Amino acid sequence: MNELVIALGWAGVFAPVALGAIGSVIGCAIAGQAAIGAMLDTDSGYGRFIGLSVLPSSFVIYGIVLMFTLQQPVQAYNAGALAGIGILAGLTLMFTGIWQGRACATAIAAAKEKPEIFGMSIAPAAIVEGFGVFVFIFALVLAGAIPQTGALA
Amino acid sequence: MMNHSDEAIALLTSLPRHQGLLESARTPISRLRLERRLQVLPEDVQRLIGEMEAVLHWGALAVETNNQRLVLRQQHLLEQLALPDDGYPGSRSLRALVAGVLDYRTLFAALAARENGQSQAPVGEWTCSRYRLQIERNWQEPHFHLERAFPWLPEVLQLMHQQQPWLVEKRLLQLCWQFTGRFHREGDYSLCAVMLYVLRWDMIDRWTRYNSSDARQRFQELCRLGRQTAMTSRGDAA
Repeated sequence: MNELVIALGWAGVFAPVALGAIGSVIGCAIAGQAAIGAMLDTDSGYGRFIGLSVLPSSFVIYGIVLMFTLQQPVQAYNAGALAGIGILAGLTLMFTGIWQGRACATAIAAAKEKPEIFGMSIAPAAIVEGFGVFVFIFALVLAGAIPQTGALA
Repeated sequence: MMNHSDEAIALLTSLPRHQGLLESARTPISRLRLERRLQVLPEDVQRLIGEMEAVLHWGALAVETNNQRLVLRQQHLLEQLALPDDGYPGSRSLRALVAGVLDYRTLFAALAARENGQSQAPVGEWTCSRYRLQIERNWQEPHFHLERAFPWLPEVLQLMHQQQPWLVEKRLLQLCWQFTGRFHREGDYSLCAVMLYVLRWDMIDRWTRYNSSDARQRFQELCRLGRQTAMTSRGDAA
């Protein structure tokens, strides 16, 4: 049983970066494809499309920071906390990255047709980012409350 | 199975947005460029789109001399879209889209044939529409007892009585445009969205190249084909 709990603890330590990377990969790929398509149909504004398409890459960065915060010797007394925080935060970062990619793709498609709405079109993607940031910050806060020794627990 | 949404993302964002049907002075992209863009899709998907266009394109009926062949093509297309594991995301929507447009076209064709003096309903497989039997059973009724499902039938019938082929075809295009609009979702990057784009491109193309004398000629041609098909069907049934 202890081995399983410790394995879950290690999974929790690495989950934010692994799942965050998956979210960023899929999100950037979706938005990137949309950017390439938009560039075929326009004669300017390429930089804006590409800039928008890399927005979901932030989730892997949040994941890396979380991983370093959670990194500590995994023992039975802290493994559950590491698993809970790490895996749930990782899942959130993954889904946020994917859906932000879709929001960026739609923003690119809209801004291509009507360049003047470029700023407004980013709003949905920014709101999605905000939810990812919430999870990131509160995961950091909770990580500070993980017991450091068995005696304290 | 392969997911085609990846190709669809780049493809759909590379295509200019459709304006409204009647507002468009020309297609948003030329046929040549559209076909070039569609080449990013796998060959089987390109074939499927070509098949859909052949079945639903506005010119298809005019050049089709044998209605049985067209019905077989309709059946084949619907069967392809009905396959549960065909690998096309949203194929249920696709089937509903194609079947819905076929229903509209069938109703218009049936009204036109009857207005042209065809006293009896066609016999045999003359369409794939799900309303075929109801149309056959209620051939003598002005609106085939379908006016509740299709409230525009009385208006279209009146236009036909007034011998206004241009207005009839305009109304058909408008109705199909509205119907297909129900399938349009912002941010949808599926094969259904690609096929919807192509289908609506065809409608704009039809509308922008429209001219009333062609419409009259085509309307008469449709009526002639309707008569011919009915006679052939009766001959086959006998």
